[in-house]
Amino acid sequence: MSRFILKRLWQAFIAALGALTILFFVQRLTGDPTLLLVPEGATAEDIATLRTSLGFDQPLYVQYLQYLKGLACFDLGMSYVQGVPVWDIMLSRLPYTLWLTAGAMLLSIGAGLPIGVLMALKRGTFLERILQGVVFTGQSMPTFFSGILMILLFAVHLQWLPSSGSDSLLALLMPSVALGLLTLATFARVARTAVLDELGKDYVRTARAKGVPLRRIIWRHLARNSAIPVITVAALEISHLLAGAVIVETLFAWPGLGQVAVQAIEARDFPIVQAVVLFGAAASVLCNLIADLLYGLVDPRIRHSGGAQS
Amino acid sequence: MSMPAPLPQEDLRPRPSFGAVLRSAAASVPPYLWIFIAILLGFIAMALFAPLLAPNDPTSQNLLGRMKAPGSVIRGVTYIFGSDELGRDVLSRIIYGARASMSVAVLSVCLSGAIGILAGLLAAYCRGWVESAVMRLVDMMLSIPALLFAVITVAVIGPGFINVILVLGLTRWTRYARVVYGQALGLMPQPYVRYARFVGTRPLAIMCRHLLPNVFGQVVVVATLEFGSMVLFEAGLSFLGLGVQPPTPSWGAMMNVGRHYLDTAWWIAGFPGLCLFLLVLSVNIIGDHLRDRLDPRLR
Amino acid sequence: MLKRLGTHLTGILCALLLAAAPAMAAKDTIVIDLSNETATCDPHMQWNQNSYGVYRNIFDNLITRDNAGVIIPSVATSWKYLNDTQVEFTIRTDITFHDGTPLTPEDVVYSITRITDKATASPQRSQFEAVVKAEVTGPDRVVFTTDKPYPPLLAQLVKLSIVPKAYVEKVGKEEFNKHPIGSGPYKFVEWSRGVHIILERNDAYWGNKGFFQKAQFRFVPDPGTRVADLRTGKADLAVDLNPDLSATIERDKVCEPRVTLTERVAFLRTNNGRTPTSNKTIRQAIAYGIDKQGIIDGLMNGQDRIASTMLTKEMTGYSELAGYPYDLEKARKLVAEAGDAAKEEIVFATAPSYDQRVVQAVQQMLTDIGLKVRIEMMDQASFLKAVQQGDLATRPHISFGRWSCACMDADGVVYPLMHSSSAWSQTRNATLDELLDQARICLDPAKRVDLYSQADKIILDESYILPLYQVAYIYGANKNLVWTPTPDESLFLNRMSWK
Repeated sequence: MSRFILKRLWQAFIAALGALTILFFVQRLTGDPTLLLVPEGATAEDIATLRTSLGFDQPLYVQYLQYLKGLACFDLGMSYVQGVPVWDIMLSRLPYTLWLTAGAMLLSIGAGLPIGVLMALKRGTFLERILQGVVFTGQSMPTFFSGILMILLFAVHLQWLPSSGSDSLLALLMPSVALGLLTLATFARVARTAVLDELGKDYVRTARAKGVPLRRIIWRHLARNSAIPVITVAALEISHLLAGAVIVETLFAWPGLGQVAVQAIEARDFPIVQAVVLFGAAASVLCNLIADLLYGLVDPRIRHSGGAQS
Repeated sequence: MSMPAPLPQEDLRPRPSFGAVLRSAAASVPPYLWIFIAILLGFIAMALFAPLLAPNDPTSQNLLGRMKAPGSVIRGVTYIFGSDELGRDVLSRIIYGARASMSVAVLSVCLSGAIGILAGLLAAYCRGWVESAVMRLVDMMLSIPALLFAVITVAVIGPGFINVILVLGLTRWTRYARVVYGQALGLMPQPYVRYARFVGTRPLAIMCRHLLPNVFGQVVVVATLEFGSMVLFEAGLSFLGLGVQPPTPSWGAMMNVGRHYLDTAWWIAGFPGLCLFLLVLSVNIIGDHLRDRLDPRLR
Repeated sequence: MLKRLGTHLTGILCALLLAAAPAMAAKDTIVIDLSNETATCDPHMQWNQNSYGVYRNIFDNLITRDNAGVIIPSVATSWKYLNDTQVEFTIRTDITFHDGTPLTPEDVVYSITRITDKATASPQRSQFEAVVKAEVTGPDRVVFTTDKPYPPLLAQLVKLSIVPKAYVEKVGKEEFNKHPIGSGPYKFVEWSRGVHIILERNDAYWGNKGFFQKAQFRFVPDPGTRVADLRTGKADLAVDLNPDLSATIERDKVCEPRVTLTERVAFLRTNNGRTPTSNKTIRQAIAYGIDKQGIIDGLMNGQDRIASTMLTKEMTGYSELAGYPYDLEKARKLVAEAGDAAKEEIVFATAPSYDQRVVQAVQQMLTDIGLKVRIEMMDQASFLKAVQQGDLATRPHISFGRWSCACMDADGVVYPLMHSSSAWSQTRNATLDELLDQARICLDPAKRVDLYSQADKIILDESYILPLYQVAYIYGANKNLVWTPTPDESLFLNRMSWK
């Protein structure tokens, strides 16, 4: 068990280091932030001075080694633009990302799973068609567009919800829905497939033939046996949510990591981009690990001998 | 009392060929699906014959005829879907936009599919270090949020039609790689594959002749679903100003510009939004149907 | 970290409870939507609107401008030229910083030398580097010395914020940025990264006290969302709207657009060192071929003003010259004259921060006169790099730009854009360089105007650069907000009040 965890952590470490290294060099191909920092009309000499003070006159490999050295001591560096430690920025933004992810996850699981189960049970009926329509609609709209439609309807015209910001739980609602719509469809589909899969199995048929009510079968057997694919997808979707958050956070002025990442890419604030990718990698590793451990809880037959990749 | 569910097993039958699958699929298309197939074909025709169909030049501006409502007539030209923020014909732009939006999606699906299939097959066939290299690369890609990766790449190579395709192709291949790898791994111990290796068939030939045809059905399913994501992805990039560049019209870009006018001139974003919605919807529904058909467990 | 999460949880819950409470009777907090997060509250570190809009309320500047743009006393009550290169300032003695310490001439000297000292690596250094020496000459006297006569000195000093020397030296750069202390009409309270900055009225302020007890600056990147915030009353003031967005709030019950002509001029920078734009005929064809009034009337609600040179009426050094009129026939004829040169592709570089409607309209106009123009969109950093770095032969043919030196002086505009020594310039003309060098050190106003007029004539004749229009800046404001926007794009809280 612990060997398995160690192995996964090692693999994740290699992946994250690789991603970081590529990112480090690729970003620096795009130039540096000095031109963005100076006011109009700055002289070449001033630009050069600023560049030196930010360390861009050093050879690339030296900059890279320095960065790694800092990283080894958990130092993420300083923001070029804001002049404060990257940790400060990350820690103040992270809670908002967690809130938004949690909101979107809650919505997509809370609504997606029941819809999926219902679709499987009512397969071929009119109800399934309607539910399918709902799921597909949510899935076929660019996030920014459904977000804007929501802002116009619920904030501007009906005045039920705040149009932007992060100062109340109400403000979390629209971004969560905009972000959760895509994931909702995935969960509905997974739940539907999993339930259909189980319904076709002999033990369910036997139980049904014996006259056990369908509801009890669902709760006792289906829930447990369908949990594995759902957990797998949940772990994967969390990292997808981070990506979708880039747009939702920009639109709703939600101060999470996605927004700061896009702004940092534009501003060439490299240490922040690298930190966001590090956090993202850590999050996806963590989610997958938790998923692996959950497999064991849900289904004791899975022992972590060499990996439970599905 | 509950019986232990059987452990997941690989399906040992060789899969039917792609052509056979298509034929059997076509024979069993439910009536409602034809509507969506028709919509999809309609959009494809629109993209192919844009110059013949468009009533006006999609890039010709008229600064004095901006944001006119659908049906307006300006200087003898009827703007059926209205005019946009630069006085261009929205209908013509939608027709030409079908080209950009769909070719971005098709080409990036092809590119990412090709990369993914190659990576997956190589990993499954070669095993050893190739396998771990590919799998680590997949891990790496999955650990960077796709849109962030795209934004960084666009910052390096600049936006534009070709670059958007490159970016999408390079970000989205992991899904194919995983599917192909998983399937091909199951095929490796098959008698016909073992035989082929035994008699010294070249690896490339084995991959193309024995492995590829048997995973292709799955790839098609992934590709159809990815198509919809790609259309949405391009729209997302447009929102960040990094999509297909003006004056070339694309639905995503039109929606992004038009979103500021939803209260004053809804048609600028409304019509392309509707088209994009219908396109993604049709493709997703068709893809969903294909998956149900091709997934042996659901028969 | 967990503790922080905990505070956030309680914070959000408290906010939720507060939001449920009935709206407060008196308006005591003003909410302003900025277009991006403030970069820094250290006034010597960065010069961009989202930063100075905030920190100029925390700090007092040496001198300032009134709403009409006239330079008026602030920390300095008066000033006089001792000779061509020395100015003496008399400093107010009744100012205290927010921590209670008095503002002294030493603080003034420290503030300017902090910027000009290379070790500080201040991006603003170029604005003040003419000042080679600053010294305290009396209990309320400071003398600044420049290396050469420097006419725009006062215009530049409008941007000099006075920081407390003792505090900055004690806590250091990083801490000062996190907890800035100034002497301005508002005190720094809190900066929640990514969310907002909160300022509080300085009731002990020596000058014009603010109306609002508190100010909240929010960071809202999407302009559509800023408009939605205005319409729902979530924000009282929003920066940076485009004319079409402003049209959506013209008939609104809650808010309205507030427009001001700025000193900023939108222009096309032509690359004068690369074919085909190195060809004068082609450049002139472009100048005749652009319908500036059409753009202003068609796209900008008629709010902007045609610019014939890069200088605006309000600037020191301006003289009236006729620019190129819109003449489609003449433009086409010139293109025909240019022959093969006109058939080469022209790369038109632009970045997302510029008005894409104008960019596309210009491209269409140039296509109409027979040129082949390709828009190349880059993000801001790549754009600046492409336009400013490398050999002229590798830079784009034309690029869009909007220039403001925030100093209302010709030197801040023409010199960097046209002098061959400047990274921003794509022009190499020795006569022009000579004129600009002379004007830079000329203290006689009339002669200086004449020098700039001569320079402008050369620029116009050669069509080295294509000024388009003087930019109107559009804010959105709640109808109850009493406030007039100024040409220098400032956001002084103590000049705002509520009806």
